[in-house]
Amino acid sequence: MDAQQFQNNILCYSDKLYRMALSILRDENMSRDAYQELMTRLWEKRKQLEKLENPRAFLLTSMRNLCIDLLRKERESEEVSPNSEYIAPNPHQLAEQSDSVSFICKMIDSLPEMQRTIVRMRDVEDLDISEIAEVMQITENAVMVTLSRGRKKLREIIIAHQQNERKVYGKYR
Amino acid sequence: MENIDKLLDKYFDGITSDKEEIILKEYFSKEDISPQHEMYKPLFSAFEREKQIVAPKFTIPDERNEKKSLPKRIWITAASVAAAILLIILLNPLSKNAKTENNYLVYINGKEITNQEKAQQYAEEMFMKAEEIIRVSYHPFEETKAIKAEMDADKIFNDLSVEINNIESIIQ
Repeated sequence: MDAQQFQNNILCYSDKLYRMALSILRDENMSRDAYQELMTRLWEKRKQLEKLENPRAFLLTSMRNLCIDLLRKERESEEVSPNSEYIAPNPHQLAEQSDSVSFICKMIDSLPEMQRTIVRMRDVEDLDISEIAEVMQITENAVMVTLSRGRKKLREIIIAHQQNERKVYGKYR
Repeated sequence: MENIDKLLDKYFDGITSDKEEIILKEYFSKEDISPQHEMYKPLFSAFEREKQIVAPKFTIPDERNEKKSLPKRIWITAASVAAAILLIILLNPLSKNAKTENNYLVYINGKEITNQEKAQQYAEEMFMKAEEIIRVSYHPFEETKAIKAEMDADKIFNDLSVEINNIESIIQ
């Protein structure tokens, strides 16, 4: 695989790969490093990439594995869980999160890693269930269950957020 | 509106088809949506916003300037050969601090060895192991030939033996 083929067949998935790193790592600097590292590794092993049947799934799986590995190393040193639970924001925080779209992005980030990765693969990257199953190396049924859990959690958050907003605005009326 | 409510329920249950999800996304991309659905609009807007995130630029290295990175095993082999070479140098009985009767003293793994034959035998074993690593690890690869040509353990051993003999003869 030469530079042109690498550009056409691998780098065309750059944005998806970088977004996956951002979703898993939730840190821009770490995600940039992870993306550069993955691309460097892929370039070094470009000869083997020619044989791939589904490069997109392979690349996304590689990115996820690399990020999970980075998280594991970080957790060992800092003991930060990637699956931290969602804590409902207080009224003060709600006031700060005036941009409701940014608020939702943060809430997606607060989902456990499997849920947020699957939700984003489906809703941001528009991957079908079978390909998500291939990337995550789980069954299609498990993908649908996890997707449902993630989306339901988001629905609960949205409803709770709206109720909190009403309380805040109610006080000042 | 009822249809959208049903689709939303299906969506949150994770059982919407691709077509149904397209209908939902198109609906929530509009400005005039039903007030009862307004609270879900940021969710679909968030997905659209995240789609705009682009990766930092990755510059493909220039193939012409690319140095061939050596596989890990090559470094292990090189280290083995280097260790063997170091041992040969240690076998040189030039130490001014030598305390033994025949003035021969080397250290192997921190132990004093005064028997020259044993020490040389150990060095030869090291070389054989290094050569075996090269033979087993790289036989299927073309790189093997290049490495062997550059790092011929026999040749290095012979050259060093000659050099040690020359130094010994000068001292005697």
